Amino acid sequence: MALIGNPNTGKSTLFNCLTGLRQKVGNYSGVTVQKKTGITSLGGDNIEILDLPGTYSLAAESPDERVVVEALRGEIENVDRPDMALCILDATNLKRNLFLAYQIGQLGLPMVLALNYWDSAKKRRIDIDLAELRSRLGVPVVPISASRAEGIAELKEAIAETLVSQPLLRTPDWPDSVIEALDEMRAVLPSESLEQLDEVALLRSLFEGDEERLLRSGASETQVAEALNSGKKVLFKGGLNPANVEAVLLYRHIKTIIDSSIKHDALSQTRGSESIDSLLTHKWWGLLAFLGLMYLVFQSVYSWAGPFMDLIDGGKSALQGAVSSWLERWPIINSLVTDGIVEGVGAVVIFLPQILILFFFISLLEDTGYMARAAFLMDKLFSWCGLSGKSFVPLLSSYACAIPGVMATRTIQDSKARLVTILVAPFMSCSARLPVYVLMIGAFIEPRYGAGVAGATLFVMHFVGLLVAMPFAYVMNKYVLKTPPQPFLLELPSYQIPKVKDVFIKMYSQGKEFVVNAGTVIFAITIVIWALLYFPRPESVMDETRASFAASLAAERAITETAALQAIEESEELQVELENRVSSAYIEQSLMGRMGKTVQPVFSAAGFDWKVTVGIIASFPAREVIISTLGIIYSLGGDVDEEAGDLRETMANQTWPSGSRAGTPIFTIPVVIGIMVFFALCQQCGATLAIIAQETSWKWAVLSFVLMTSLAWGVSIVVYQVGNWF
Amino acid sequence: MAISKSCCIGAKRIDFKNLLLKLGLNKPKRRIILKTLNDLVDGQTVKIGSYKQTLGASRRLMELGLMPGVRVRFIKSAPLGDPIAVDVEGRQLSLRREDAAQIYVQPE
Repeated sequence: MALIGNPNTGKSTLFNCLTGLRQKVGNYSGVTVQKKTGITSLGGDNIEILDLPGTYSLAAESPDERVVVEALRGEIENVDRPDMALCILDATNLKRNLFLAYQIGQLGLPMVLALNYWDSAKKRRIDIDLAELRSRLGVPVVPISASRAEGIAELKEAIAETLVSQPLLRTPDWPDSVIEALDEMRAVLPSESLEQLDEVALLRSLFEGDEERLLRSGASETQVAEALNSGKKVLFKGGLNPANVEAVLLYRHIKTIIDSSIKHDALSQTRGSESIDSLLTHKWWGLLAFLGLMYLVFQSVYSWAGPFMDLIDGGKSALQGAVSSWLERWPIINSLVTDGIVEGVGAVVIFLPQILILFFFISLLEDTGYMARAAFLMDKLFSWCGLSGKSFVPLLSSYACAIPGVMATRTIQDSKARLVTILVAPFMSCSARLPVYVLMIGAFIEPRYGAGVAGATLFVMHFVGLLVAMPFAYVMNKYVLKTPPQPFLLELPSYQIPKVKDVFIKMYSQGKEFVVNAGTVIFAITIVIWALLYFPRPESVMDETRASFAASLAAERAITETAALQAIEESEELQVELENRVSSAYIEQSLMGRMGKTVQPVFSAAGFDWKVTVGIIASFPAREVIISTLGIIYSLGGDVDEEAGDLRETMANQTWPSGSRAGTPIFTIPVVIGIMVFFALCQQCGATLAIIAQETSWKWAVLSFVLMTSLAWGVSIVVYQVGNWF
Repeated sequence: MAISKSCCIGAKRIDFKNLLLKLGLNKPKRRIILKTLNDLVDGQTVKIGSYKQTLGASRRLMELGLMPGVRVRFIKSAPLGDPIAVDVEGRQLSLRREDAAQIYVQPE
């Protein structure tokens, strides 16, 4: 069974009502359209419900609509043609809602109509004659109130009955000119393509001027053009404008139905939403309220999630410690379990607090109807570069983390605007970049220029991504995603009191989907990175490092090497230093270290040495990893953080070992700024790639990776080269 | 100096307008009669007239109830000037000014 309706008709509330937690969320392959299925029990039988995206019509202009049409016709792979359609209508706005119902009716599916908001229709004294409506439409019509779970039992009964008796919606009698136009089309099209085209397909092609459907049936381009042309001519002669014939005829028909079945007390229409709006979309108060709300949302994701994330992190470390002491005898398995598996699980779970908190707010904002107002307020700022007013919340959340940010783009109906938003979201300065900025600024900017400049630099770094993202969006929108522009249309729904159940189901299903889909990829990436850092691991490295450490110690203290080895054995401090040196040596000759050295020439134009390059490569799965990687490489151990004085000092003392720059410091100001800009622009987050792939497809994830990384590389070189002139 | 400069520009502008009038490209009277949904003040109620030919997606707007003959009340524009909010038979819709400028309206 397919569930379908206009946006803002309470469709997801009804879906939650029918299915509870028995839901599955996914994506239709190849398009950025969410696929939701659920199971409801109907007198002992389980029925699968396909919750189709909310849409105003079946004109198949946007990907959402195309999915709806194809799903209803059973043309999508792995999705069976539904046996019936449950069409949810807003009882307070039947006129427009019946429009969609009639279009679905044309597809020849048995149908049940659910009139939602029955209670508020009554309150508004909209008097609907159900018996008359049923007889005019020919299908069951059930009044419900999904938010109060009223009428659900009756609805289920009607569904059960419909599956047996298969009632069809009585389609309107089209005027002669439409029939004639169809005949004209049949006369032109070849017989083999007519075999594939039923009356509905022809009718839809005529109404939509859709050539594609006709071409797919095997007709030639000239035949298709001629068929559509002659059909349109007949319509024109009949006094109908081919561009809007369907809307005109259907609304005319719907008007007769409404007139006979609804008594509408026009005066009692509530203007409640508008009086709230006089404040919430007010020129000043509206913007102020918006900023306040957004600040709250941002704070919640940025700060409130912190304690939970610390808790997860602490739990992870404790588990690692416990496992590590337990598996001490098998170093490879120990490392795989602690640094690979436990780390990987931790890397997935760590995102959950932010995702859950953000979706708590998003479903509140959506269900109350405020999200549409936020889009209304912000649209001007975003429309010029192909984003929409609804991009604001996802982009803002991306300042905390791009993962929930990308997931939040689901609120954007326009799929092109959604895709562009997804592609620019990783540019926003997420919290994982902060440690890198703090390290670089703290080590190099602050000592030289003082706290004022340091603070200003940190501030500016947070806007670098945004400044690049806007033109990037503009270019993507204009030159890469060449779909015809759609008029921006946004319904400002009446304000509603959100339902707690809907909010929690949304949080649950988003969290679950993240763990199942993106989580597996993030986990896999962590394991791969672990392997790259771990292998190869010859025993000889240990001995060589010990020998060289002893040699340097011997030289330093003017003692024999044997005495030095003895000293290392006895001193705990020297033991730790040896361990750090061994880790550093291992990383240097691990696959990752070798990659860093191989790739280093690519970054030499930006002034990065191989150590920085390894740090950058190691931080591709997650940016913050660079801190601990640098700690290991500089033989300080992996437990350093960005505030650590010794890490800053060691970095400041790094010099080029050889070449034309031998002896000069590696971390000059242009290099430091270059590194920060690189981190600001680079797609260094395996989790973000996984989530982009989950929400769109791997094609876009790869594109995002290639574009952002090459952009970051190019800009950091420019920064370094230009910086060196001063 | 400043005065003569602005005179110059003003004179040029008048010439330009006259030129357009002579060529028949500028018809001020017609423009006053044919208002679009973009030219309304807050609270004004009008009827939807026809669509300009340039708006390819008129079907989409009609599906949402912006049919010729339907009464529409201009509620307000967004704080930043764009988009606008209108009331179509008790429903609030928001559309961008560039789209609204493609819809002719008639006074009630």
